[in-house]
Amino acid sequence: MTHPTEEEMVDRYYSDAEAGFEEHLAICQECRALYRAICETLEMAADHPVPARGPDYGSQVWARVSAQLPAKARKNWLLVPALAAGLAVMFAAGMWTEHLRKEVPPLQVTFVHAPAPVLVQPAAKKPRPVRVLTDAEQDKKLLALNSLLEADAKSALPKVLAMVNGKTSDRTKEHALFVLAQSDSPDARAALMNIARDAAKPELQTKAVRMMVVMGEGGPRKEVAVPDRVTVFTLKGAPTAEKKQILNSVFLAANSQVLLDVLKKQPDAGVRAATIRSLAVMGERSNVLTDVYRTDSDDGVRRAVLDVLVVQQNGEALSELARDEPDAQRKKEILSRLATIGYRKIQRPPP
Amino acid sequence: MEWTDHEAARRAGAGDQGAFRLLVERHSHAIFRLAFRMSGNEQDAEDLVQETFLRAYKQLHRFDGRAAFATWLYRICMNCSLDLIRARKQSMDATPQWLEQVATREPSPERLSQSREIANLLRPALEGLSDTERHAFILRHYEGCPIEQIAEVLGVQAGAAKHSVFRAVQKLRKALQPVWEVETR
Repeated sequence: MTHPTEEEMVDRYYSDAEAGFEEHLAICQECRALYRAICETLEMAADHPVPARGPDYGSQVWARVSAQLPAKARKNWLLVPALAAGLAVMFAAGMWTEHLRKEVPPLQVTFVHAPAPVLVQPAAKKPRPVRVLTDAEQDKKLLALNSLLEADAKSALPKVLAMVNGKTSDRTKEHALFVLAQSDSPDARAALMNIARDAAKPELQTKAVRMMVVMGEGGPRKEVAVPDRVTVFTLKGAPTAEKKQILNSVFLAANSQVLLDVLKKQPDAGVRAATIRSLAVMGERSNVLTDVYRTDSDDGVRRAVLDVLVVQQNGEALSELARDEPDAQRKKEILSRLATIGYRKIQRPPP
Repeated sequence: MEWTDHEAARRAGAGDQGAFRLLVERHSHAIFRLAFRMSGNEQDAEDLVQETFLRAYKQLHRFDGRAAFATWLYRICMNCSLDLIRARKQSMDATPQWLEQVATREPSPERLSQSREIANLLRPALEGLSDTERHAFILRHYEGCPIEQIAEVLGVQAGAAKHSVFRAVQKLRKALQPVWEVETR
């Protein structure tokens, strides 16, 4: 055997030797020294410990990865026809929009954002034509379904619900909920109520309740008791942040009656405190707020009342609370707030 | 049901997240090991594992099944680690922590005393390798991958992969020569 190259020696270190390699090293001192040098080098850079991972590591990785996965992977062969179809639909939607602009009053055309294409991928194995729907396209469908809901709710409602529950964008879902919320159809209202009660889909639930709050009070269905709907939802196990979102909607709808109702029935102190702040901004009478201070057992809610009275510069109400407060620490807290607003006319307790 | 990697990848590509979960659970350990060797610390390795699987999911339509799924994942992990290293080079020291722990397989007392010296020599040597050489060396030396698999991961011919390993060893040998010479005296 001729002298092996250095590259062959490196290869030899990691894999089986070619025939004659060992024999050659036995008789060739030069190659033996070189091979030994290579082995020494690689052993110096020997293995180092990798931190151990438990047997459930795969599940842990999956938990992290699955939370960030996009809705669905797409197959290569879908991309070209999908793109072509997308362009065609966008072009058609543009033409249709131009056509509708002539017929629909401007205020009703609220869907003016650039459409984000939504690919609806067929589940079957064989290639099928890919239907590409844009938000604008969905909106046009909703406009049609909106009219149909009043005339023939049974056939229109499933289609609207499919848009609410299907793989549509958040924007389309919200528009579909809007269609349900402003419909006079009892079936549509019942469907919206079901969505508002479905805690398994919290995002949809929140949107539905907010839509009911806003549309119910200012819309055509005042006969439906909005406070009942809201308290039904907010009294249940929704996260505090979502409850606050709903309360914001109530606040925007200027529905102080709903807020007062929430204040009485809501077990979540954080939500009650947020309600206090909304009520104060809406100009609720101070006696309502001071009543809350006296009856609510939560310190956070009480502080929220004091805060809004400070913001309102309502020294008289604070003074009244200070006078009636039996707890020395709380009385001190109220007095310090009175000092903050520079109120000095403390009411003396009646003799 | 126990699908092969190819079958699971095909199903995952059609949108079956359960199939993708199978692949994640099957390959997480190996990808973590590689990611740790590439990045040098646990936190970065965890980030790389996650990024690797997310990229894999998005690119499933590109997996044509000619290579082993593990090889394909290795390649994605390599690319992720390259991105990480580039980002890190712009912001901070790129020295892998594990280089501090490098020791010999059978550490004699003398060797142990040389460990720090070896690490000090090995660190710049590994950093001085090209990306291809470093990847090839890690896959060959630490992961025990055959040349054919390394070639697939790196997207090069087998001869080029073998040569990359050789060049890496040459550079390391040159860097570690002072220690080796002391030993042979």
